[in-house]
Amino acid sequence: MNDETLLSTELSRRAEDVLAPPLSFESVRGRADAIRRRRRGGAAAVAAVVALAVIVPTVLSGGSGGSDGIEPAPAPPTAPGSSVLHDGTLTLPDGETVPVDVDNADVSQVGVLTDGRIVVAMMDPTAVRVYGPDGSLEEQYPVETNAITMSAADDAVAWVAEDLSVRVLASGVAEPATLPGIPMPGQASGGIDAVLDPQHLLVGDHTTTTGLLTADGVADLTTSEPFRVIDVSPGGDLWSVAFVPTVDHEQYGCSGLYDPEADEVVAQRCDTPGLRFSPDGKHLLSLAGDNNMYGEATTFDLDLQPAGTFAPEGETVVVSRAGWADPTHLVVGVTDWQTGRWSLVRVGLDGSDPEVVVPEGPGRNPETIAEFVVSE
Amino acid sequence: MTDRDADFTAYLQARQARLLRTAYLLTGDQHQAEDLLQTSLAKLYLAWDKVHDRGSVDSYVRRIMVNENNSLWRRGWKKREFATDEVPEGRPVHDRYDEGLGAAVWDVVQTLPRKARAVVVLRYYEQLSEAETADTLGISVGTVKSQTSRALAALRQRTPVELSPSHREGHRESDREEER
Repeated sequence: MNDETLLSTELSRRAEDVLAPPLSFESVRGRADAIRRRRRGGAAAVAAVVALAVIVPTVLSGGSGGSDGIEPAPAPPTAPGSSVLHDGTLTLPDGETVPVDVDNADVSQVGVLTDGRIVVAMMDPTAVRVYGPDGSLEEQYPVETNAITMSAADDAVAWVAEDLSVRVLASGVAEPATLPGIPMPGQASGGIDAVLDPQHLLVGDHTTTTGLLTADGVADLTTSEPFRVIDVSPGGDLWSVAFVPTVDHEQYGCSGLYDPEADEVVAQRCDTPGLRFSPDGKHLLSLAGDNNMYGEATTFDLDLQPAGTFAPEGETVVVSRAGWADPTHLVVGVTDWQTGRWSLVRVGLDGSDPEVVVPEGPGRNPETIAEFVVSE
Repeated sequence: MTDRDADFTAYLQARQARLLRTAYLLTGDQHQAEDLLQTSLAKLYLAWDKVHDRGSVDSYVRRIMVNENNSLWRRGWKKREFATDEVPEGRPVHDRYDEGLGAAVWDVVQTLPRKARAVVVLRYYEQLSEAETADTLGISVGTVKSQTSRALAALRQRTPVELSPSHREGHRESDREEER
């Protein structure tokens, strides 16, 4: 008996004794109804986000956006939670999975558009790949830098193309639109700091956000003080920003929250970088560290006061990537850099009740790859 | 009952026993298998009108089962079973019918990463071809080949030497030599 026959025989032997009371049609239909209700709930949340996204440019231009009539208060904006790419499978916030035939070693970022398409920034090859909602590869675009920037509503994604023009792929649109390049000295390429909507991007020189890019080109962005935009709240009313590092705050620089309509910084602290808004815009997440590894994940309220911290146990155990699973929970990729073992944890925003989603298992060197890539 | 529901019920009655066995091999746990099957059949029911080719329903539901079983969120509430390269120590491997070889093989299958395990179940239990397995899992044939190869290598490495097929085959050969 060879190995293959042995496997077949043993699997059949194990399976043949498996018996269970037969499932009735009613029980299957009941489960189907529950799934249908959950899907409708998710779709409604995405639709609310898409509707709210159109408010953002109005706010940016300083207009009131209101009308003479009395309008009902809009529902609080909520962005989709994070998806996680692991071992060739993308798990969406609702638990649905999509096979994506990529190795995380080649992936720098992943995003999921509201139409279900999956956008992957690849390190090898240096490209942006667009996969269909079923995980089939639709297109690959050569890029100048393997970085993507998603809009807060996940209705658009942008990147800098090989010819230094900017491409914006909008949800529901087959091909990316081409916008003018970001003016930079020499052959340098600028950076896309935020996608307000498919027609309005915040761009800069990787240190400071300097302009608003539209199809007409770049218009200077004037703000109360220089900073780089890191993230935009789901409603577009607040920007998370990073100030240029100073001698006093050399390591991370200072972070803050900027109100674009009032043109003022409304909160600031100098011990935490890269603040990312929660899906409901009420909290922010920060990771501090180097080489794809972080000591802890910390959350803050809108006054930038700490709301909670999750620090994995063990001297050599660190956070690799983290994102918002939903408005009140984080999803955190954890790794032991000494043993190369990995796990995925879901934890409350106050750092409580960590729940192991994927128990510890073998993986690769966390300094170079992330076995769990959390979507932008 | 509508024709659609009657049609689905007929499929349910005919195929659920077999699909439960596949679910068991994917999960390694009876309760998880039953839950996985119910969820997968519910999703099949929702998509029933779209599955025009009734000949491919098994393939469709297998894909749902594998994807559902691979869902990261699903794992949180499951029992704390996970893939590892290490065979748990102290596990009895003796099985009267084959001196423990079957139990050793099952240990290896249970510790394979989920995707590799799905490849093994589809190839060696469902007897799908490499192309059919690739299609079901949404991966390339090359990936199926490499996953299969790694699973067989793990089987060879982790099956106790004295129980391995090649070792036993070698012994039989030498026994035959001696008899001659």
